[in-house]
Amino acid sequence: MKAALKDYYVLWRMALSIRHARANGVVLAFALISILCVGALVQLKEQDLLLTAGLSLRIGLGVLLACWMMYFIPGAVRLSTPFTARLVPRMRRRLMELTALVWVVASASATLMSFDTRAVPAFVFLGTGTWIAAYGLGQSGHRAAGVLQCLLFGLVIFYDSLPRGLFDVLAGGTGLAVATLLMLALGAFSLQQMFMNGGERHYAAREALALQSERLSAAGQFRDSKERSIGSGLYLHVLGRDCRARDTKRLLGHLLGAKNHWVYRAIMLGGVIAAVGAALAGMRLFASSETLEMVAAIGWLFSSALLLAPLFDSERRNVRLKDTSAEQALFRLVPAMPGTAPAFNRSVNGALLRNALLEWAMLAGTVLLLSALTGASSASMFMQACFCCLTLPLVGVNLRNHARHAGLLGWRLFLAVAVSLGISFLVALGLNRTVGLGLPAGAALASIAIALSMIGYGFRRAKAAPFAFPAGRLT
Amino acid sequence: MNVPVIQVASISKRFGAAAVLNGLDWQVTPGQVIGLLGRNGAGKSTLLECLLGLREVDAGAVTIYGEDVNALSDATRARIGYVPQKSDLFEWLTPRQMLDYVRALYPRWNDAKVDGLLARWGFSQAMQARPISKLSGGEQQRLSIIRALGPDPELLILDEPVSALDPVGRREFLRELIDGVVERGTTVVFSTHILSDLERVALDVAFLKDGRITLQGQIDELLEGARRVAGPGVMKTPSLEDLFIEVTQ
Repeated sequence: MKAALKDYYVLWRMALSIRHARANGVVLAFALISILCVGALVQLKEQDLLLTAGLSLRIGLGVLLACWMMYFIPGAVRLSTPFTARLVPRMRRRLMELTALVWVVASASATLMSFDTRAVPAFVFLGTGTWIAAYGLGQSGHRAAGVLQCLLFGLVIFYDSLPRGLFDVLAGGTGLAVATLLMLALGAFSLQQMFMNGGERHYAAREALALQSERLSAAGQFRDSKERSIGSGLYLHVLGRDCRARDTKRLLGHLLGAKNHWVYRAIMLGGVIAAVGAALAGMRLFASSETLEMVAAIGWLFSSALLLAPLFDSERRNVRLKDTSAEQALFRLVPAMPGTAPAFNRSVNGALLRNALLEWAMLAGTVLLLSALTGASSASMFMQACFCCLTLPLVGVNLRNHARHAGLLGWRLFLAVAVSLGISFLVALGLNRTVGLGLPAGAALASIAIALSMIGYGFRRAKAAPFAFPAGRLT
Repeated sequence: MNVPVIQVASISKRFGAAAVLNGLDWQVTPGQVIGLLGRNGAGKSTLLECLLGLREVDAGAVTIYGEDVNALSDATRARIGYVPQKSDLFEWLTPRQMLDYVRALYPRWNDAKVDGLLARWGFSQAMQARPISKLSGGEQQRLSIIRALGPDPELLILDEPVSALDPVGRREFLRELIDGVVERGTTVVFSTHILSDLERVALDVAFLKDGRITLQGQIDELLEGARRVAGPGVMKTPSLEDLFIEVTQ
C-alpha cells in the first residue's frame, strides 16, 4: 500500500509539473482569485455575508478541483508514451488507477457541492462524471470527445425543453443505476484510450495528440486545415498589409507571433459573440420563461468570466517574450528600429501597450455587449463597465525592463492583480466614506489611476534601461 | 591604412562566477574572411553576440565601422547580416512570409539574389508555403542564411552556419559564400567546428581560449609555423585539426 501511495505521489507530481513547473501554485492562486472575485461580486449584489462565504467557498473548491484535474489529466496522458507503457514497470497501471481516483473524487465532490442547491445531485454526478470521461478521451486525441462535450452542453442549455419523463427516470432508481453503468463504461473506455499499451495505435494516437497540441501553439497554428481557416487568412491579410506599408510600429506587433496579435483576439471574441448570440436565440425559442429570467438576472456574471482573459493574455505575452529571443536579436539589428536604447525601448513598449490596450478595449466591449444581449439591467451594465476597468492595470504589466525581466509570470502575476484589486477597493472604500461614491465606481477610478501610473512608470523605467531585446538576457 | 570593420578593446564578460571573455582584444579589417575557432563552451557565440551589441559587456568597448555598438546608426545596421546559431526563427510564418516581413524592415533588399538562392537551394513553391516550423533543421538553416544575405550585407557574422547542413548543403553554402559574398569584398566572421570547410573558405583563423584570442593568422602561415615548431624530424605537415587540438587543449 505504501509503495502504491508513493507511486501515486510521484506520478501526480510528474503529471502536474509536465504542464507547468509551478502548477500547484497557479491552481491555488487561481482558486483564491476566484473566491475573491465571486465573493466581491455576490456581496455587492446580495449584501449577505453568509451567502457570500458559502458561495465563494463552494466556487473556490470547485475551481481548485477543476483546475487540478485539468492540469493532471493532460499531464498524465503525456506521461504515457509507448516506451513507458511497455517498459516502465507498473507505470501504466498506476496511471490508470490514479486517473480513476481523480475522476471519482472530482465527480463525488461536485455531487456533494450540489446538495442544498437548485441542481439535482444525480444529474450533477452523471454530468460531471461523463464530462471528465469525455475530457480524458479528448486528451487522448479521440474525436468522439468533442461530440460528447457538445451533447452535454446542449443538455444543460436545453434542460427545460427536453421531456421531463426522461429526467425523472434518470434521477433515481434503475434509471440512475443504468446511466451510472454506462458512464463507468465510458470511463473505462476513456482510460483505455488515454493509457494505451504501446504498439502502432499508441504511436498514431501520440502523433494525433502532438498535432492537436501543435495547432494550439504559435508554432503550429498554420498546420494543415488551420492554414485555410478564416483566422489565419485574416491575420495573413493584415501581415501582408503591414509589410507593404513598411510601418515598423505595426511590424513590431507581429514579433510575438500570430496568436498574440490583436487580430486573433478580435476573431476569438467575434466567435464568442456569435456563439452566445446563437445560444441566446435558441433559448428565446425553446427555453422556459423562468430560464430566460435567470439568464437576464445572472447572465452578466458569466460574461464577467471573460474579464479573466487579460490575465492569461498577459501571461501568454510574457511567455512569448521569453520564447522569441532569437527573433528579437534580429529585430535589434534591423535599421528600421531606433539605434539607441531609450528610443528602442520606447518603440517596444509602445507596441506592447498598443496591442494590450486594443485587446482590452475589444474585450470590455464584448463583455458589455454580451451583458446587453442577455438583457442585463442598466445598473448591471454600469457595474460590468466598472469591473472591466479593474483589469485595466494589466495593460501596464508588460512595460518592464525587459533586458532584466522577461515578464511577470505565474503567481507573481496573480499577486500583482490581487494587490491592484486590493488597493482599488481600499481607495473605493475611502471614496465611499468621504464623498459617497459607489464602491464599483470608486474601484474603477482607482484602477484607471493605477493603470496610468504603471504605464508612466514603465515608460520612465524603460528610458534608463538597456536595450529591451533580447528579453531576459540579463537575468 | 585599413580602418577596422570591427574593433574590440579589452572586453570582458562573465556569467555568474564564470569568466567567458577575459580582456579580449581583436580587430577585423575590411574584406577579411575569418574563422573563429574554439572548443565547446569557449565563448564563440557570446563573443559574436557581444560584437553585435546583443549582449552587454562587463568591461571594454566594441565598435563596428567606427561606431559604438550600442548606438549604431541606421546606415551601419543596414550593412550587417547575422545568422544566429538558432535558425528556427519566425516559425509561425512560411519562408515567403518571413522574407517579406524582414524585407520590410530593410531599406535595401536584393530580391534577385533571394529568389535565386531560394531556387538554387531547393525551396520549391510548395516548400515556401509551408510553415518554417515544419522545415527540417538544414532547411531552416539555409533559410536563415538567405535571410541574412537579403540586404546585401558588407559585414556578415555567422554563428555555426553549417552545423545542420548535410555535405551537399555545406558545399552549396560554401560556393555561395565564395562566389557571392567573399569575392564582393564582404567582411565575414564565422564560427564553426567543421575545419575542412574553414580551409576552403577562410584565409584567416582566430582561436578563442580562456576568454581571449590566443592565436590568429593566415591558415597557411600558421600551419607552416606549426611545421617548423614540430621540427625537421616530423614527416607529415600538421593539419588544421592538429593545430586546433594543440592550441585549444
